[in-house]
Parts: sequence; structure tokens; C-alpha cells
Amino acid sequence: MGLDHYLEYNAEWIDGAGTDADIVISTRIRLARNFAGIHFGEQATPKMKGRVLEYGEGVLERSRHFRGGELHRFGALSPIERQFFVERHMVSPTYADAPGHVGLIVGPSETASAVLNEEDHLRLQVIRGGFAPREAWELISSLDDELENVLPYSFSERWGYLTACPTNTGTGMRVSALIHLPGLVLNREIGKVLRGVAHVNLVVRGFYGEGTEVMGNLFQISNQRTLGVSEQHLIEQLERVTQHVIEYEKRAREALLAKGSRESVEDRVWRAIGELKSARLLTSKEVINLASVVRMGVSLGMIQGLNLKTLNEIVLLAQPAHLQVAAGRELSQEERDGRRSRSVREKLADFHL
Amino acid sequence: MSRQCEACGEREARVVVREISADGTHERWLCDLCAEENGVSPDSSTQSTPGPKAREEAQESGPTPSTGSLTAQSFMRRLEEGRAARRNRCPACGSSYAEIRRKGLLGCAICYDTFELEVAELLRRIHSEGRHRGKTPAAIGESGGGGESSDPARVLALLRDELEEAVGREAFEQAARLRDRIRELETELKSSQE
Repeated sequence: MGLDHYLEYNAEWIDGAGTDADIVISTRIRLARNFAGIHFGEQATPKMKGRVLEYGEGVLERSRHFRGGELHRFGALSPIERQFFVERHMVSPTYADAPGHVGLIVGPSETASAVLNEEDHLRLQVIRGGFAPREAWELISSLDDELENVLPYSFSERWGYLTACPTNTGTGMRVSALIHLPGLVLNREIGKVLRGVAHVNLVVRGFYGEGTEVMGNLFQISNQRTLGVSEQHLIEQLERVTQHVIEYEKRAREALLAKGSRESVEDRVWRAIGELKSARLLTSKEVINLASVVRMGVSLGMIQGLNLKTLNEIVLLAQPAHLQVAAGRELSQEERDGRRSRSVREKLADFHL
Repeated sequence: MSRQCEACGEREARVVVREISADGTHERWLCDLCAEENGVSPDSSTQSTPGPKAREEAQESGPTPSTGSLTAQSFMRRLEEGRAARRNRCPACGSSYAEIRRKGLLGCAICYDTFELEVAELLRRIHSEGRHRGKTPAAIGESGGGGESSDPARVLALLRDELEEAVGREAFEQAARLRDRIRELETELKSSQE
């Protein structure tokens, strides 16, 4: 398999640096764009889709953001390789199952990527570590400026960027924060806080986006409206609301340190790291949930000598397709659980209980 | 032996379309499907008539109403109905609004113009807003702007591209739809400029 190099060097967001990185894992923005004169999605003929893929090749040559990156044609990838990019949050799960003419451009350090021939012709994405919606917007907007010169977009002054799904019409923008809220889950205020988020036209989703399960106390907050609001407004709104959520989470975590609860929290944290360091079979869900507890322990200063980068790596490398790409072959469930526990132990080798 | 449809060359001809003009009478033998495509919907009289019989009667009867053939008048009426039905499909990608609703996805950028009223209503329901306030591509921003989405000149340019593409693919039905829509727009554009 030709994806090993992605395992060698890390995506920027994995570093665990950035603003409030102990609570906000990453910030993402995606822009949906379509090219004039080519039908959307399923209506496009194979020839039209071929043109979109050719365009992708041109982008690699001409865009200074994507130069040095790679174009992966999904039709030529195995199901495991396609799933690999879902696990790296670059492609939505739906399209990994129906490769067809889907193409993925991955820029250097994986900060910027672009998916071709999904529901829309082009879906640009920028992902940054920590909470950084403004930086993400600046980068993606300059990328967008650069690409509109390669092929003209379908745009209407009345309705903005024209997308296949009317829920994206207008800015075509989805800005989201992947946020870790174990404190609010423990003190049971999470429901109340999330209802407040939904109240201001933002949505909360699971780990891999729309319709996916909440795991490891991870939530994705993103905008819902795309028409009639500017990109600036959407970013400010997400910023304002996420800041509140971060504050609530910080308060909840501080309360956990108070007398009466501290010992039971410490017990959970040390049991979690003990389990990660000693288990011989681990499912990916177990790893995500245990790493979540350890992450909270690191953030509360209960655990020293372990950084967020290691925890991010542990979770990412524990995903099924990542294990199989690393192994260079398909693995059974049992094989995966064994290898997963070994990969986790290796990452935690320098940390002593 | 049954006669083949002159349009598709595949199915059995069950409908005779007789066009009457100054040059005389011209007959076309079509199957039910192609007849419908040509604006003639098979009604009870044609449906109940099997192919061979239709041929017989068509040969015997003159340009008067009879089973299996159509008068010039009713043909024109049905042709009009057919055109109206075609207008309910996007001239560029062929999507109907029912299909768009079912899939929850528009077929192409031209769908936004074709189903302008429905789309406007849909967008207002989803976003409770009906006008873009975000970024504008530099190329469009420079040209001044201020117009509507359906800037006819731009739509025309798009449609002509589509037409070329459709002809290249030999998708003639689609090309015909596109040509109709382009003519309509050209007329609109002319009258608005006068």
C-alpha cells in the first residue's frame, strides 16, 4: 500500500499545540464549490467527472498551497485505503463507500485538502490544531481565491455559491470545532449546554460528522445556515459560542478538583492509563474512551510527562484502517485488537506508572 | 409483421402521427414512448389499438379524427402540452423538480434558474434568508454585479456550453431542450433590451 508515508510524519493538527488545545482538538472549515457548465454529483456524466479530476491535476501544479501534495484517485484505492482518509477526517464516510470518480488532493502537512466529485465538484478543507477559526478562514479563503482562477465557479449574486444540496447554498461553508467535554459529561450539564448551542443555529454532531456516534466525549460544533450570513459572521458566531462552551468545560473541570470528587476522578484517570499501558486486546472504541479520560487527567495536571500529541497519535493510529495500512494487509478483528494494544503500548513506552 | 418505430428503431410502432402542411401530408410511425417524447400522449383510442390495426386504419382514413391517428389540431395541442412538460425539466441536466425534492439535491447550476420560484421558497425555509451576503469571487466582484442570479447573458453563455457538450455526446433530446430554452432566453433578452 502506498500510504505509509502518512504514518511517518504527522498532520499539523495532531501536534496538540494551538489555542485551548486541551479542550479543542481541531478547527475545520470546508467550502463547497462547483464549476460552471458541469452538472452536479450524480447528474454529471463520466466525461464531466473526468474533467473535474483533470482539473485536480492542474491544481496540484498551479496552486502554491497544494504544490508538493498528492492526488489520490479513489477508484484506484482499496476500501481500507479509502477508509484511511475518512479516519483522517478528509473524506465523508458516504463517499468512501462509493469511490467512482472521487479524487482527494492532500496538501503538504495535511493542513489543506480538497475532495473532487463528491456531492459537489470541489470541497476544500483546512484543518488546524486547537481553536483557530480565523486562521483557518484566512488560509482557506486565500486558497479559494487561488483556485477560482483555475476554473470559474458556479456563482449567483442572489444565492452565492451554487451547491448540489440547498443546505449549503450561499457561502458553501461549514466551520466546525472538534471539542472534548469530559467535565460537562461527568457533571451531567452536557445536555443543557448543547441545547444552548443548538438554540443559536449551530449543530452538534458526533466524531466523524453528520449522523455519527459520540465517542470519547468528543463533540463537533458547526454552523447550519449558509445563506444570508457572511463567512465572518459564521466564524464570529462559532467563536462566541465555543468560547462559552470552553468556559463551562473549564469550570466543570475545576469543580472536579475540589475536595470530595478529586480522589474518584484521579482513580478514573490512573485506571485508564493503566488499562492502556497493560491491556493486550483493545477495540478502537475502548482506546478513544480511555484516551479521553487520560486527556482530561493531563489537562488537570494529574498526569505529568505525557503530552497531547502522544494522545492524539494513539487515537488516530488505533483506527481500523490505520492499523491495516501500517500492517500492509487486511487484518481480522482479533488481529486488529492485538496490534492496536501493541501500538498503544509502544506510544506509551516512555511513560512510567 | 409489425412496423418499427421511426424514432427509436427498436419498439413496435403503435401511433401514427400525421403532419399536414402546405407540402402535403407527412406520416411518422412511432412507438408509445417516442410519441410521448414528441408531445403525443397515448390516449385511450391509441392504447387500445394494436400496431397492425393502427396501420390499416391510418392508411384508410383521411385527415379526419380516427383511431390511431391525430388531427392536425389535436396534434398541435399535444405538441404544446409536450413542450410544457419539457419546460418542467431543467433544460441543462434534465432533472424535474419532483426528482430534486426526492433526492434533496439539485442537478446542476441551471436548475437554480429553471425552478427559481420553488428553489427560492426552499432556500428561505432552510436558511430563513433569501439573499447571499458572503464572499463573491473576484472575477464577478470586479464586473460590478448588483444583478440577479439569473443574469440572462450569463445563463445564456452557460446554456450554450451545455448545448455544445450535449451535441458532442449526441444527447439530442437534451440538446433540443437546451435549444428551446436558449431561444426563449434570447427572446427575453431582446425584448428587455428594446
